[in-house]
Amino acid sequence: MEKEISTRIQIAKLIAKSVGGDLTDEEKKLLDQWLESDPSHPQLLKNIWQKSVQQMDNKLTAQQEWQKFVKNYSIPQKSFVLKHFMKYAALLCICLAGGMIYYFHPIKNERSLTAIMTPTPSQVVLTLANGETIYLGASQDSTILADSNLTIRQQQGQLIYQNASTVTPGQYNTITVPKYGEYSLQLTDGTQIKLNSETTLRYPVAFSNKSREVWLQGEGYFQVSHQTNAPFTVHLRQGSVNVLGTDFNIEAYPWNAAITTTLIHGSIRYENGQQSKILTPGQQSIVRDGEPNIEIRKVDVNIAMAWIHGQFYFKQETLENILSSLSQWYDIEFFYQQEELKHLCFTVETDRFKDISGILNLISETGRVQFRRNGKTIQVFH
Amino acid sequence: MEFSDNYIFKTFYLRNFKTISGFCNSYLKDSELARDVAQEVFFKLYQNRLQLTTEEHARTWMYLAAKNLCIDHLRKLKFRPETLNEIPEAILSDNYFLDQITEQEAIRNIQLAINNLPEQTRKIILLSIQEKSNAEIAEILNISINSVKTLKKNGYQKLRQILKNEYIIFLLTGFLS
Repeated sequence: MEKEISTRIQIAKLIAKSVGGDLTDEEKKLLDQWLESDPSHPQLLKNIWQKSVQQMDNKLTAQQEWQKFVKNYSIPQKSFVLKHFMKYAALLCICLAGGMIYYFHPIKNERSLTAIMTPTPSQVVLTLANGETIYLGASQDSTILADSNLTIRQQQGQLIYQNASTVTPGQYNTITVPKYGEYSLQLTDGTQIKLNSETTLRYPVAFSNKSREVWLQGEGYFQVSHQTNAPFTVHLRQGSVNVLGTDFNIEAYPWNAAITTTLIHGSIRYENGQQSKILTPGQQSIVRDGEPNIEIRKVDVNIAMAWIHGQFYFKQETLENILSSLSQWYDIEFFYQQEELKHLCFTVETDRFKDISGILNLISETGRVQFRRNGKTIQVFH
Repeated sequence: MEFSDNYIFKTFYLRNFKTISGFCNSYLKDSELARDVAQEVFFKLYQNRLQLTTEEHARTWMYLAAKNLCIDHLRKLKFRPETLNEIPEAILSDNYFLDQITEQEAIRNIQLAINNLPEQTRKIILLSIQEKSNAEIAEILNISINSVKTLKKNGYQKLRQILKNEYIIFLLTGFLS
């Protein structure tokens, strides 16, 4: 039966496609075969046309039904933390100039969450074209390379490339940002890139006039300078992002089974060899490993941008996803005593360079879930 | 598709509720009851969400679950003394089941594509599916025949693009079956 259902789902797609009047000969044959296979099918097709139009104005809103569904079956939906957050907000939060809110919370339950797990980074490594490696200390300004064609200098924690017009093409540098690190660089075309923790970027020391190509593993926020004649391409493990000049964030960590690209300004095109899709600002593309589709969805760009401001920001996210991000960041493991706890939803905004107990206390304050720490593992229970 | 992600479950619900309640209504002929049964179907889906890997898999699963729930409801109604109606044999057949799926899926795909069009173009395409002539459409919408022609042409072009994406999915599932 599953196979027959699947065939019908495909026939339905052909019927829809025929609205555009654009069936291939083969598709036409398939649809005709189906129409002739039963005397009732032509009538069914007529009904489909009629109902498609009639029910178009049917104001049955799925949204209303969803509200009922959530209520009747007690589906976890509410952001539990937000309620408490609002309660304490007046006392405990300070608003920073950028409008970002940091939430400081006194460490309670000292017995359960004692030791401080505060992230401290090691050094950023730059690999030059000749294979030489250089450790970049964040604080000092220095000139790494200066010859008649190319200057690489470090200034205020940012690596800046400047070139004379003649640079031998095909010379690549690689920058590797360690866990808990962040690093910014400015390429010869003026493009600014901020790299997140555990990220590697390979790029030419100078771009050609025709194309600008870099390779990314991990997460980076790109502000690409506009050059109409030289498209900028970010190569990823699955496909690539092509732009002319725009701001966007790419998250392509090897341990996440999908590549997520979020567009802030301008326009970008995601290509993966099978599909090619254009994103507009506020949209996010998701490319799952081993799948040909490029999914596009509308998102709150602040979530993708949170790391740039040193934040974790989860909005109506399941506990499972929240803790999986924390476990990656803080190098710890979570064990659930009750499976259903994974599906609780929370909204949390917190400083990611702070000790983990802050965010866990914040979540446990809701009374929905508790944590008990034991070395590198944390028990999740209620 | 990871249903463990509540956001994705919600999106799936919103995209498919109308389809499933329409499907249930073809059995129950009672749109209010059909909506309640559709809610039940989605709750079952929610409980089983971790086993369902692809969107198509989930949809197939839902149609089977919906049919069983609807027939249960019909049987209950049948044994209530105030309803004298027998369940028509035809309704219990596989053919009826498959035809309802075809109908609901086609409507869903057509509406999804049409809903992606700009408002005025959408109206024109809807009228043109009802076999209204350009002149009639121009009169109904109070615009010139030439704008009808242009908007209609662009509309169909856009529809083709939207539906082309569907084709890729069709090809892939075709290979799998």
